[in-house]
Amino acid sequence: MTETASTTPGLVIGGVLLVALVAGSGNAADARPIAVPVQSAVTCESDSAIVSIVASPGWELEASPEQLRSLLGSRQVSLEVKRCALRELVGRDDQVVPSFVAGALASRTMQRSWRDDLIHAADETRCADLQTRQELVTSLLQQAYALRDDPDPSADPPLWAALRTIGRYAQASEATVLLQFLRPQDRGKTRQVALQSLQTIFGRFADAHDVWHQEVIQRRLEELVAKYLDSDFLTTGANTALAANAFAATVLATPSVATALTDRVLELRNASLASLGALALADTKRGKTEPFRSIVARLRA
Amino acid sequence: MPALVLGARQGSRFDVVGSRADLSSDLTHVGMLWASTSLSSAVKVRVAHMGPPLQLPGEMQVHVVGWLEGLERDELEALEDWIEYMETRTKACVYFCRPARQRQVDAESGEVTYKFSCAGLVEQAYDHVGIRLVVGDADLPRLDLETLKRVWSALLSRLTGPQLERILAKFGLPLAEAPWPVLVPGYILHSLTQRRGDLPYQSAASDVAF
Repeated sequence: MTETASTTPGLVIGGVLLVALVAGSGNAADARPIAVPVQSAVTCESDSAIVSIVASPGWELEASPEQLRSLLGSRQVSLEVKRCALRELVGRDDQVVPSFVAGALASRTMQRSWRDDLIHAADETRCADLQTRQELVTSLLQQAYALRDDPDPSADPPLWAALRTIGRYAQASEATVLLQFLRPQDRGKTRQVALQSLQTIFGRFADAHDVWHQEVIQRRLEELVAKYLDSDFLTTGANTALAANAFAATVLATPSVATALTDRVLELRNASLASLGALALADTKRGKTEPFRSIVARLRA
Repeated sequence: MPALVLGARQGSRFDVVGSRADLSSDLTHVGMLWASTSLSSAVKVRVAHMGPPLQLPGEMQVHVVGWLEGLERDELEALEDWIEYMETRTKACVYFCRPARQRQVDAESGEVTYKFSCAGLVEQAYDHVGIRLVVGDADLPRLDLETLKRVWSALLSRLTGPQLERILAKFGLPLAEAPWPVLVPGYILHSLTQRRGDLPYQSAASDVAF
């Protein structure tokens, strides 16, 4: 697999619309729908009530960033239009997205679908501003607690996106919040993503920024990996993937146990676990540095 | 190893399935069966595929199917493990054509992003169990824009001019570098007509069709 060291934003294609305006007094009895291009909708917003959106393909590709941002902030457009505008801005990696999402997620009342869109938008864009990153971590953590305890499986993808974004922006001293998603009652995939986020954090910071916090995490990870690196546990693909992420997170958090844990993985004679463990470690920034590079090589040998 | 155009048959988990554009033998999409199932071109089936987006599982129409004979149990389990590993990373996967599979570790955040085409996803899954289906990008035949418009008709057919150029570049296909050596779905199915010992398969440009 080719490896490079940069990111490219995703691409959004499709979805399109016509905007129907109500011209006149604002009295519903006088309402008269008019089909106009999206530019007019933005221009006319202060004069007319935008009452509905009907599907039409491709407007996002034509709209300027300013027009899309205006739609995002407008109280007069439907939620569906905001969702389209948000998707397009995400596709363009627009820098207004992270701060908009951080603010919008702070709202106590929002539709579930909109909440999920916001969380995924935070995941799919990159934020350069440190203050906004901190706001995102705070607001996403609140959402993640609610999603963690939601029995509906559809809560999983936004939960994973929230945990992933927290891992991207949290400092090492904040990593303990992820232990709240490694409880015995948490779903296996929730624990797997929390472990991936710990991999990202400890794969980014070479040194502990807060020894007490780090020790708490080290203890919990060593408990987990002792349980997971067991042939009785490695009976399903889901458990094997979980064990691979636990291995990588533990090795990165506690390099002093790396050799012993690698020996343990190899003793299990489970080629797929070894391969996934190597992949999980190589999926981090420090995976290319010693001693982790040598561990990857041992597991792949 | 067999690969065939569908009448009706029983398919097994991780069999490779492909679909065609209307009235064409060009393969436009490829994925892996999510579960053993009866196959018919009249019915969509559940698959692991890079839609886009990556769906584990999603659905697709199937016109052809191929499979590796003699896959060992540990190889099937390793495929299963890899799918489980990727399931939580579906949102971290971006559609990309050239190269067809790529892993990026962000220099600042340390976070990994995967890029796959539909064919790249299948190739990567089998690569995880030590099976290289098709030769590397550098050895692939070069395909021109008209051919790629047929293969990725859903993505490219309604675009022209600067929009088309912008999207091609985003997929790793800058016009200035045309024709491109690019992994397409047909190459994957043709690789499954080879003996395992002869893999990876050296594709020919005519393999766009199956």
